[in-house]
Amino acid sequence: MKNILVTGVAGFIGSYLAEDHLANGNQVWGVDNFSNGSLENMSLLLGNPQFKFIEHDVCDEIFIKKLLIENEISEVWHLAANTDIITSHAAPLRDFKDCAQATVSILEAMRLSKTKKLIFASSGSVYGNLGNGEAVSETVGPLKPLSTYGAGKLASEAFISAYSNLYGLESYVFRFGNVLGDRINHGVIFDFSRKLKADPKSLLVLGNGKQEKNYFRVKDCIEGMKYISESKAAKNECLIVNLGNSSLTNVLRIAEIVIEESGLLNTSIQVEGKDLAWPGDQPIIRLDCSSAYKFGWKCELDSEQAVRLTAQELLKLAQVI
Amino acid sequence: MKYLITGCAGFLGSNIAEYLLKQSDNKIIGIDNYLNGKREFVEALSRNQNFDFFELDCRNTEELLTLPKPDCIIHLAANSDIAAAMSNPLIDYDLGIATTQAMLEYARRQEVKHFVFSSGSGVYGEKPEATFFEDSFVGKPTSTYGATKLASEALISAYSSMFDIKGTVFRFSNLVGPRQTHGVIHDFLLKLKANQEVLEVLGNGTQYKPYIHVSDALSGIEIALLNQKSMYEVFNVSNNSSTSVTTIAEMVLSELGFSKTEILYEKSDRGWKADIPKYTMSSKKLFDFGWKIRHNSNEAVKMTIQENKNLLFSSVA
Repeated sequence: MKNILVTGVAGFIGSYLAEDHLANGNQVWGVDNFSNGSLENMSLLLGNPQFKFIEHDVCDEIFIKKLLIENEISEVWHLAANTDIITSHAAPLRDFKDCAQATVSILEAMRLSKTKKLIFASSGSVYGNLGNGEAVSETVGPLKPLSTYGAGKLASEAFISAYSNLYGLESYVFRFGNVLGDRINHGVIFDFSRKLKADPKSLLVLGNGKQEKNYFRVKDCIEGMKYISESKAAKNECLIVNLGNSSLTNVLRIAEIVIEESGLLNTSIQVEGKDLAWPGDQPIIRLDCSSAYKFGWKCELDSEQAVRLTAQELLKLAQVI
Repeated sequence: MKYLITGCAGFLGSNIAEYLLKQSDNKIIGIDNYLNGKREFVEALSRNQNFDFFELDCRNTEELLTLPKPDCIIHLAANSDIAAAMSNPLIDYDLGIATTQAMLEYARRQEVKHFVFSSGSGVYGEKPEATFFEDSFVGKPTSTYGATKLASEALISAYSSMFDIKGTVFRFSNLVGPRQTHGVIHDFLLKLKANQEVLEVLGNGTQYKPYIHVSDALSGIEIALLNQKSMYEVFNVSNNSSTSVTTIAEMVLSELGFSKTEILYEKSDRGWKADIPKYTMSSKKLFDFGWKIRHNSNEAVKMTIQENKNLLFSSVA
């Protein structure tokens, strides 16, 4: 049994992660400031006596330090960040601060409380546009993020690396592909489901429809993080691992799948036609996840299966089906 | 061109300002909060009518907006006190990232379309056998100082793509020259000022790094700015030769004529926990533009000792 802190616990991945830790017999402290998360996501957590929720901003390192010390927490799973990339164009500072400053605050709290193990949710957006469309492994350069979201993730990674070296942390950085599940509150499938509810006759695709990404399920994501962070492979250093699967699905195909699953028969797809769906959009992210597989972890659902399952869930939630 | 230089009272800032002012159609607005910068560096520049200086923290966005709008921002302000950051790493965050963040926001709001930034070899982390190219892996800095540089680069890359701001990043190896305010040569001189019997070296002296003289670095910067093709580009600025710390210690003593000083070494192969004891960096991109280095690493070190030896006699550290 471990004492674990999950930041961003009211978010999509954080809430599932906390449920999983509890199911494995751990005590979980969850922190969230509700900038993106919701009480609804925590409905299965709040009644559990092994779970304690604290509404607070993780940028308060003194508060986090106290929390770590008083509860003898041994692992920090840091997921808190702004997840809505599209809004960051209007408020780039907030986006970066939410991510980078929060991570540095967590690291400071860990340094001062001598907490040693950190698991961090990063993103394939740190790579930026590497141009040739080949799958990217963790050791490629250069890293030129296109969004302040990606910049915040890379800045976080940089500080995790420095703190791991200077203060002997065991840290695991996971660069996610696109994680899907029913608690997601943004992203392409979420948008399509809502659009179909509003107008079952036509579905507008932002960009040119060729944006192509790796999609995988939140259950696979959590299993992967647990599997690899139990390996102890990151003693006194920062281990960076791409997490996802090797298959890709493009946005046009997602539109087709969502329409198929909706059961609607007369929906036409309209493609907007612009190369970038929004400023900072990274049209193709293809992760080479072979180093994650080397640990023995397997991603159960491939990209299209993950999209289809999520489409079923989100169409139900949007009351299309 | 009208340039806004942050950290203008520092080593690199004062040298860049001096260099740009040689062209009479350049105008410079210098700002510095004097946390690390020096008033005497600014006084020397102030004689030029094309130079304006404001004592101002670059995180003070409201006051920045009252300054005349520049064509280009050269953002150099950062924490250079590594010892202070070791005991309180948040200093690095505040002075190394919050500053870049503030200046990028300023560029966005004022629609300044070119942003130049001084980064360093620290973004590459430690890879003893590798030569660092601009496109090499970056992602495991060993120090919080290196982390602030990589974080700043990431943010400049993002702003460049989101807001059409041209971004130019220079990754310097060990930059040396007149008005040095930190680094191994500066340290040795200050130690000798206090004690001429022994010179205590951090690490075992085998650390072997490329030193580039600021006069060479400035011509590299100029060539890069003239030749940059894409919206966001990174340039290594490094010598292709290196100098060991032992050689530097011996050169300092011989340049000063201190024949009786004993050099004391430590056992470790590095000077401090985050030190990268050996690295090489390729500046091929600049060489392809026609950049020529006039002083090899040993010459750069020797010149710098001469240029800074008055530190031994000055009353201020």
